[in-house]
Amino acid sequence: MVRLSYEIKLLALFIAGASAALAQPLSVTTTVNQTSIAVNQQLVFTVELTGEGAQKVGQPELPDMGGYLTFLGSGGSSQNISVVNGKMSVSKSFTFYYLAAKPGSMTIPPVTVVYKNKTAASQPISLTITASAAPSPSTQGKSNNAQASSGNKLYLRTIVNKKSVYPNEAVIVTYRIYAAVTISGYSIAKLPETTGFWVEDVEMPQQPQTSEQVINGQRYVTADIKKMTVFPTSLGKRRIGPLSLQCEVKQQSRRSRDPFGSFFDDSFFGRTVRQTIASPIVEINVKPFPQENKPASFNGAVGQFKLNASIDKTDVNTDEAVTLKVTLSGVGNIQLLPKPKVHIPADFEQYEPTVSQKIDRTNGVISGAKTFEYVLVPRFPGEQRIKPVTFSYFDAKAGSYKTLQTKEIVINVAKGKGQIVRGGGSGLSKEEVKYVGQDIRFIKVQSEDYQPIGYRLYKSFVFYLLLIAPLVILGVALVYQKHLQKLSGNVAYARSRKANAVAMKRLSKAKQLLNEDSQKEFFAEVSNALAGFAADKLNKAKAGLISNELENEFKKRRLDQELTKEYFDLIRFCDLQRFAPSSVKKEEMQDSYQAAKKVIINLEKAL
Amino acid sequence: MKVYLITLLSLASLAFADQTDHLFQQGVQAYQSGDYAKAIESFQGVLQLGQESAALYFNLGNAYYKTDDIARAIVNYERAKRLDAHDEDIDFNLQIAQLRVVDKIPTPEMDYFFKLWQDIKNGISMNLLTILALAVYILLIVLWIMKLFAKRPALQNGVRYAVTPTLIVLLLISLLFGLRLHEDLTTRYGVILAHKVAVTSSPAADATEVFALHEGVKVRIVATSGDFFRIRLSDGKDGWVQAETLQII
Repeated sequence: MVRLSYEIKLLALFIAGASAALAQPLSVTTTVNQTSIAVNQQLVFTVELTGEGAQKVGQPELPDMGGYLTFLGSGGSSQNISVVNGKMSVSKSFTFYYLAAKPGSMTIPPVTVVYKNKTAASQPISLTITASAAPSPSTQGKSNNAQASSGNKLYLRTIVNKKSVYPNEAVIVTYRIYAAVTISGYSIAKLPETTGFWVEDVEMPQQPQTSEQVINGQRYVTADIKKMTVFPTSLGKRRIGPLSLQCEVKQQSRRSRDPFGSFFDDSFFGRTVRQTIASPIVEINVKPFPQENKPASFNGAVGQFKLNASIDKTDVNTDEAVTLKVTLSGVGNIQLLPKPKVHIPADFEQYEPTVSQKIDRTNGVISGAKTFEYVLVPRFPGEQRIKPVTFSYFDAKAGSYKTLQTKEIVINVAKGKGQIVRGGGSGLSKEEVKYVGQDIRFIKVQSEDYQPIGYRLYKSFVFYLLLIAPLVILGVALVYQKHLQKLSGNVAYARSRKANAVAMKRLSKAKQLLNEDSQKEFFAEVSNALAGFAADKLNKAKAGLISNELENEFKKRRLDQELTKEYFDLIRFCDLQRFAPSSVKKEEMQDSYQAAKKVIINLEKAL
Repeated sequence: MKVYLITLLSLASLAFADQTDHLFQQGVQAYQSGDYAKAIESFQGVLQLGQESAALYFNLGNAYYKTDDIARAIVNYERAKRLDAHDEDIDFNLQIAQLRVVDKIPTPEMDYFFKLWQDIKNGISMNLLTILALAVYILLIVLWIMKLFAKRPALQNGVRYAVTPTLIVLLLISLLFGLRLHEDLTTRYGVILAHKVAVTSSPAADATEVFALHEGVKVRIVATSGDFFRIRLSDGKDGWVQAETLQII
């Protein structure tokens, strides 16, 4: 496999466009490393593409080998660009490995490649496969059981500890050589293809441990050549490709000699023959996880694990870092273990955890520990709680899900030196900015208005008293007022209220008489109006109203002296004019009228 | 007998007053000399005597603020504000303390009239409002009685004109009083005391956390269940917290 260097790649890019016209047309050539091979020997089949588009055509489709050859695997591709005399030639070759499966002569059909609607085909190659007497491997069919190839003297077996697994469940794959011949040396020609698996190689001793085994009467020396633990990563039927091994087989002159004693002896004597053997392909069925009781936190981990969470210190100051260590240990695919669920309170500044792991691969059992270290910086003082860390895995042995949980971690955060800044930062309003940097105002040095704690006036007795008492007083007042009205009688009340109206009526009649010049009648009417008004107001009989009695009544009501005098003077004058008429001027009558009106209005206000 | 009882009561309260004053002054002095822990102790002593006042709560809030206990400072400022709605110092210090609260709960935008209404409604302490409502009520009754017995027409007229406005004022004040009374009896506020509280979706210890709150946040308590309070924030978020994590204002 030739690695294309960076420079060549650049050069290719540079030239490719310019010399496209100069490039030769695409052609395909196929070659094999030998045209005559024995059964169980490896055949290297090379397909070479040259000319225009060689580097752009992908891997060509492989021809049908008609059962004579078993495909072992691809050896990759190599590319070669050369410029000779300004002419560029590009070639790309693909290498494939086959194993001769049955004897006979066959023809490898042409390989065809299509580029830009042009088809190029290779020449067929004829191949002779001989039924070799030489050591034969066990690739035939399901040769996992040694019995199938009892006749073979040298073969490889692929041993898997289970064939039906869950994703991420460990499968130990062992490649074991069975040899009834003497092998002086071996080298791995091609590693198995393991698409769809995560592979952990198990270290093997430099000198394989050998043991003996008798199969169908034939003694074999066996040795584990390679061991690996694979974890399927996807569902369905997955294949583990063959391992091909190149062995130096010692041709023995004397067959009767015991082969075991000199298993890996490098003998100077005798001829060695190079022989390639390959292990059979093994199919592993990857079944989906059961849906039943699947925990929510399950994230695809399979094996047996333990979970531990610890913190380096439980008493810290703000802005001082603490380290939370979450360790998963046990048996399973340590490298691909998902992170356990850790709920870190928002009060911590947190960073991505650093992950470290320790893996032990003894005997193909992958075990170890994976540690997640979280650096946390508490920003606020107080008791901070880190909720229990949970981790779920599938225990393939028990066939059930298991959930692990740690204890809650409590961290006491003390206030550090730094000022606590409000999270979320910028959100200070205009109002608030005014207060930034200011100190609080000083305390009050006096307090007067003490009250019992939680005192509410509306809950107190006084409140209800002040609510009800006025109502009671009002009720009493209403009743008392009714009582007074009854006592004073309705007549007095009516007379008192009508007094003004009656007096005014009389006065207006007097005014009419004044205009008619009936002097006597005029004065009688005015006198009546004045006397009647007082009688009505005081609820007294007008006839029996003696001026003395009236005067006393007025005095009782603290009537103005002048008004009283005016009143009585006016009455006396009117009575005088009525009973002893003298010639009075019209103007005088007018004055008396006005005076009477005034007195009545004043009395109305005063009484 | 009655007189004797009253004398006894007033004597007791006089002794009480002496003690409260003494403790209060002791607190003031401790505060002035920078011994805030001692100040807190003295002011708390007054509370333990069963007495409260706006100034006392204000001072207690200050002392707590100085010892960096923002949550308790806010509780006490809020209590002071409840007793005296018009003290500028209380408002000022409360604002400063709130700056130190970690969580900033956005308050929904209020339009001018709503804000004005809120100011009017909350701009008077409950006890003052009660006194005011009572005063107007008694005035109305007095006017009514005067109207019954007033003989002089001038007085009668005056009373007649005064009754209607007084009645309207009383109705308005009663409405306000009723609203505040309802609020006072049913609405409780609390301040988160714990440094950090997980607010959960249900009142159970293992319930899922909805969001977290830090000390000093004022929350409305809308329900209780066992040891849990259901709280609501001014931005409408709601959840349950353990009762011990907050202090009722």
